[in-house]
Amino acid sequence: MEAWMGKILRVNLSYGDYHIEEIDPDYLRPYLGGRGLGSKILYDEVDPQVDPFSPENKLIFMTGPLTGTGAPCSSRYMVITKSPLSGTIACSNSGGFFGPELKFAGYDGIIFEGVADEPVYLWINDDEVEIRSAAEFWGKTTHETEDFIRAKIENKYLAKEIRVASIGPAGEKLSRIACVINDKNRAAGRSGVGAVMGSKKLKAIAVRGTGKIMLPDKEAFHKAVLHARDVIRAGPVTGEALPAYGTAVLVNIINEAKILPTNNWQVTYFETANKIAGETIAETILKRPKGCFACPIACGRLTEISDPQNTGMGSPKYFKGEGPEYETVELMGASCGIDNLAAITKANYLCNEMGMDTISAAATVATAMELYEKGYLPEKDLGLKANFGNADALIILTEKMGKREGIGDIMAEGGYRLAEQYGHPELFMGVKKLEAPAYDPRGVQSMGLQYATSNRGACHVRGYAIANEILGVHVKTDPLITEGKAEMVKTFQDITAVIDSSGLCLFVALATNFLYEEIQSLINAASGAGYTVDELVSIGERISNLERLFNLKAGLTKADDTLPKRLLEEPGGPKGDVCRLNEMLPEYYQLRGWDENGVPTTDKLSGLGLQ
Amino acid sequence: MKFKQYLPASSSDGKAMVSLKDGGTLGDLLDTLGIPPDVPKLVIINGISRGVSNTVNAETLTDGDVVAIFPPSGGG
Amino acid sequence: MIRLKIDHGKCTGCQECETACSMKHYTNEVNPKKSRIRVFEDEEEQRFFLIIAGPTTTAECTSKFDVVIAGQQYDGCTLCRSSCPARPWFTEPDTGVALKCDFCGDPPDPHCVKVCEKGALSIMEI
Repeated sequence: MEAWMGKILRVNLSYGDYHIEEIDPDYLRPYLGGRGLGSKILYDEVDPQVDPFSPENKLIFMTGPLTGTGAPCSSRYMVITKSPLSGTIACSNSGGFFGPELKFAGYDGIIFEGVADEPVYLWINDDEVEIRSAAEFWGKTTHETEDFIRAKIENKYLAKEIRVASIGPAGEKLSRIACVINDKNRAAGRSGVGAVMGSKKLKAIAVRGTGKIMLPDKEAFHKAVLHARDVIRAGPVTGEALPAYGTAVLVNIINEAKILPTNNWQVTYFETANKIAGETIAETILKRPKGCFACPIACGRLTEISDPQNTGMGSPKYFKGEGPEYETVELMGASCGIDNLAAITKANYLCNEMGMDTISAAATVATAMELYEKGYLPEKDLGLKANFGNADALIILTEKMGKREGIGDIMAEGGYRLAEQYGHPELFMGVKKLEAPAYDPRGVQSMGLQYATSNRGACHVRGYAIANEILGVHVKTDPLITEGKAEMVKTFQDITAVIDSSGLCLFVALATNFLYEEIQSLINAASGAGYTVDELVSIGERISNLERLFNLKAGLTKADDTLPKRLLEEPGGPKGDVCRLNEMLPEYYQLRGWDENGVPTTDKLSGLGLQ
Repeated sequence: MKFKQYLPASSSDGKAMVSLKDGGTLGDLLDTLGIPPDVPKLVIINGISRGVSNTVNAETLTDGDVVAIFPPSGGG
Repeated sequence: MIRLKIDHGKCTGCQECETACSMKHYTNEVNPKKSRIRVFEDEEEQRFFLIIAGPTTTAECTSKFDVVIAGQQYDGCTLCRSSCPARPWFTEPDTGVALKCDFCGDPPDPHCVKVCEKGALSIMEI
């Protein structure tokens, strides 16, 4: 049980108390930690049919065995709950420094139950755990919240060491696209986990830990770490591209591959994409790269903008913050027809401060723009002319969404509910009500299957097939054919579940060719748990199936494993193709050991110990 | 940054027109631009991502083809 | 004499130096709060500051005496920085014992320098 702390903090917000639970090693082992353990706890303790905003839903923060160990990119923690956006299991992943700090305080994770009467925050300073009033800063942004909590601490040295995860106004107002923000600019972004936190009246968690993570064999671990660092340094993506240009290095590539969603996915090529690309970010607004805990890559971007014309709401002239990342710059940019980098960056800052997922927020603005241009969403409702390319509209709508003002009230419910309200749900570009990230599957078939089958809806980080299909990081496959893609997607999905459970960042996998052996050596060196590769493979599959079971019990069916009509029927991408999902989905079900309705068979479940 | 050194003087916004002899290949294009064969990590021809290999380098280009050449890149 | 040279401009704030330092000096554990090097962020300036429990100048001091920590003898004066109230980072949180950079032994082999991917740390002879 080394590497894990072996303890979970269980906080009941209704009663205002907490207790510390020991983790049963036999319960933990088949799920590894992080995403696996959190999903298992949710599955065992929460009725999948529950209203996500009811006290019966639980909100789980969970780290993995490698979180905080100093293994490369060992910064991650997960937020697991039932999603108010998609109705599926939600499991959002974030880096920064909060996750490691929670472990240094002595806990693998925190389970929140019930609902507080008044706004509260959780204070953790090693053994000192306290539910404190957040009345003074309820309504504040995530940045103000963190500053406020720090300012209240008398010992200024202690104040400098705490780490904060919080929600902004969006989460408080139960926006279904609200996220949890930690370390001011890192987001557990997707599926509206911030709204569940808001429904529990939990404003923030502040944590500081002075404890240690035990390693059974320091020398072996040190060796494994140095090896992994060598691999990351030698990988062209992790060693060169991401450090220099951040994730937005992808913009020009995805554009040239003609799969860059533009004008809400009506087109797949954006003429002026270079203006919003990572190269341009590095030349213009980048102040310094920023790394998460123990990260040798440092893809984060500390940026500064000064563009008074596009500040929209009459705020100060200069702004500082973090971002934009690839998905943000693409969806706020090309997908809204906007090539004004300063405006996009400003909207990104707003999302961080309000606590909104940038992918969902941007995609919802893009949907609003198409609804407006097609005449379905009148200007009187919007309060402005929201044509594609209107950078001011992006900023103003983002702010309204965060505050639920005017049209922002329905936009805060996400793109699906906006499009449905105005009678055109087909203009929502996402799956299971989760807005899609920025790769058009009409030019990369496997991503279509990935979006359709991911257990949290349209998502890129649950199976990053782009690595093979477009980038050819280690293997180069043909993105336009459907053969073999079912297996590729399944493999990527399962190893991703293992990485998410380990506490590592997915980018480690970009360097290590998505090989179980690399992950295995780090986990075993840190924990001494002696996991075999076969065991890890089955952990990945077990998690994928457990999440699927949760979704099925929540009422989702095969009919939800689909794509927006536009991607299935309107030609797009480099060859004017559609996404041929029907060629891949039955094979995928079969490979998964599911019946023709996408329900795991009894054999499969008992083989995984899920029966 | 360094990758841009291979762009011809006539280029703008990272794009340039390049003339090749009839039957010219991708390898010839790299030669013309002075790009060592091991430098590109990804080649996209007319929107089709092709990776990098000798087979791709030997492919004949036709008039009007759009070729995008990238150094290491990736990760969203 | 060996000193650690810090190039603050290259630091990305990842704190790997802290984990490496604690792992080097303690048996089978990682604990950045016991590191002899600490990283802090200046949010306003968007940069990172590294602080080392390093040697100080030979200032006049009335309390010079030798101190033994973990079997190793230190000149009290070189402990000045780590025990200074203005630098409370450099004490063990559980025991209060002062922490002091020893360049990871003799010959010097600082682990923080080894793991710094961005080259913000280097050793120099003065």
